Amino acid sequence: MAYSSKKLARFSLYLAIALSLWVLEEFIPRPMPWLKPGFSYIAILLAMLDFDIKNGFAIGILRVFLGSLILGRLFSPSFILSLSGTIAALCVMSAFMISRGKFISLIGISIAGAFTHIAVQILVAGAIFYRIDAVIWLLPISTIWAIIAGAIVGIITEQVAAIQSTMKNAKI
Amino acid sequence: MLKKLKIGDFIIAISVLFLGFLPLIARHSSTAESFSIYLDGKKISRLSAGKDTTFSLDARLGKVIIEINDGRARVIESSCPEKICVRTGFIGKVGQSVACVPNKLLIVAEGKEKREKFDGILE
Amino acid sequence: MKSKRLHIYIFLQIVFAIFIGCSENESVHSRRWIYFDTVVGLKIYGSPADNQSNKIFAIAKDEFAYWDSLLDVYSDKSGLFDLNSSPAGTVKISSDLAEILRQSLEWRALTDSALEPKIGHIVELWGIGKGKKYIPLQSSIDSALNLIEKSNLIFVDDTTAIISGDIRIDLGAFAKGFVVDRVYEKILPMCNNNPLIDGFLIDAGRNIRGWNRNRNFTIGIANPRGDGIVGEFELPQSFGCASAGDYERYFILDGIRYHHIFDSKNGYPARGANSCTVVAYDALTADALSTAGIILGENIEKIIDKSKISVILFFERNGKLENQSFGKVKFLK
Repeated sequence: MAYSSKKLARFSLYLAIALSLWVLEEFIPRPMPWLKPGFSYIAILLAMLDFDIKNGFAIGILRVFLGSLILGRLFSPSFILSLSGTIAALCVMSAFMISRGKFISLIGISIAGAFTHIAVQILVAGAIFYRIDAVIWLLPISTIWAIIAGAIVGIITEQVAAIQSTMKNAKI
Repeated sequence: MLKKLKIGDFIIAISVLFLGFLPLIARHSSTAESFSIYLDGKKISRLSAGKDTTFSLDARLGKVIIEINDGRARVIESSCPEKICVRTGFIGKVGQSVACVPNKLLIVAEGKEKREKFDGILE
Repeated sequence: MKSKRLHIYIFLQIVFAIFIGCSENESVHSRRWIYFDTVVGLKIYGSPADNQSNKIFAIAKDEFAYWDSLLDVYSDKSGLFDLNSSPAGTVKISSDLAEILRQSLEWRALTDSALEPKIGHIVELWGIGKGKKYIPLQSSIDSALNLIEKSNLIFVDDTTAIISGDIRIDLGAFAKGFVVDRVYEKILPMCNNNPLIDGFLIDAGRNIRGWNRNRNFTIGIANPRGDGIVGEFELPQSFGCASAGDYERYFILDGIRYHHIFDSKNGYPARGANSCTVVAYDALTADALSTAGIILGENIEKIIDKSKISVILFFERNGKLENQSFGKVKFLK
């Protein structure tokens, strides 16, 4: 991937936003540790729109590696959970991203991603660290959280994307 | 803002909701292998769901008639005043139960006892 | 461009699949053999290489085979058979056989002769489990008890003992627990030193002992009257457990059950309890005490240290199964 300096600057900006939101979220008080708002997906979705899906993947995965490095938990259990949730969510979101437009907006894509992220985390946690039947009951409450948080992230992304496109058009 | 919402978003939200609550739905869907009958909090009998039978037992207020038919169980007749247990009808899924509070009678549908969950068994 | 994108998808799908695939439940390797007239088995938890687990299985099998051939009362090639057929006087005993004999004599003292290793005459007379279904004449029982009374085995040093009278040693209450401990001690260092092995469980017909670095084992107690499981408990780390009861080998005559665990006081099948499960710090203790529980019933409480040993007794009363338990382990959930 050869980046022009302009492109590289934008990529770095998205990565910085995703990374800082991901790390800062860690310090927001919440009822259960895995119920995070997932604001870093705003930057990932915007990167997918601005560049392509490949760059969105890069930012999503890099933020887990760099963020875990900052928080001092690289390759720890919570890192494995974050990474597996992120990869699964990125796969699902990018599949929907292709059919975005007439029938699906960023809000639906974001909800699907949020649910995939949290569901895969629960399944992986159950499979690796506990037993599936011991953690599966967490899924219903987590689903409700995923729909709310996913919708908020989707709405914000949709707004920012709209502003971005008007700015782009204005430049021309 | 809401005009940005598309039909696909609703479909996604609804299917996510369905998937997320699937474990709750699936949990109660396995058919009962047996019915345990408790009287005054003590287990008095465990009956196979595979064998059709009708029998009566003496509970606190008098006679209760229980039927097992086609893998399901119900109370046909009870000596209790309100007959809630009779109106409950058939139970047949694991975890379901019929209770007759005045008679202190409880019927619980149970699955197969799982031997696999043990590391070892003292036979 | 498009095909490149597709490649990335496929790659990530595979990565994702590996993530899920790696996270299977713990894996178990298991072997079973027939020794001591029962099925004995070893389970190894974790993911050792095949040659590593096969080596451990081979060692365990050899150990079972060795002790089976040494302690089989009915084989004229066994060390125990030789001892039972030797005339009164001084005998040389192999150090392995001497070890289990000394332990069984200690248990005899500890239980005030409730556990009697010299019970062989009574066991032979009744022949339960060997096809006999009759109640011996009282005179035959009395003469068997008399032979037990008059016979004796006294160690003078590690491998020399003096036999008096016509001795018939029966190690039914000790042998399996003792051998489970021997196998346990043999394979524990090998498993502990192999980080790929998470644990193991030895199961020799109602005698279980195990070790696991991550968790305690869950053991079920089978219903002594019919199907199903009547109790379950967590086996503490490195502990052994055993069950004994009147349901293993028995016959029923005129509605009375005659079984293979005898009360050495009267020469009849013991009536203390119908089934007994013991959890103790080793398998021999659990095996011996579970048999003692059938003989002593509730009185077993007096001879156990309840901080280290747990016991549950089952009684069949009016067609219902009742239980009573002592000690720290919770047997029912």
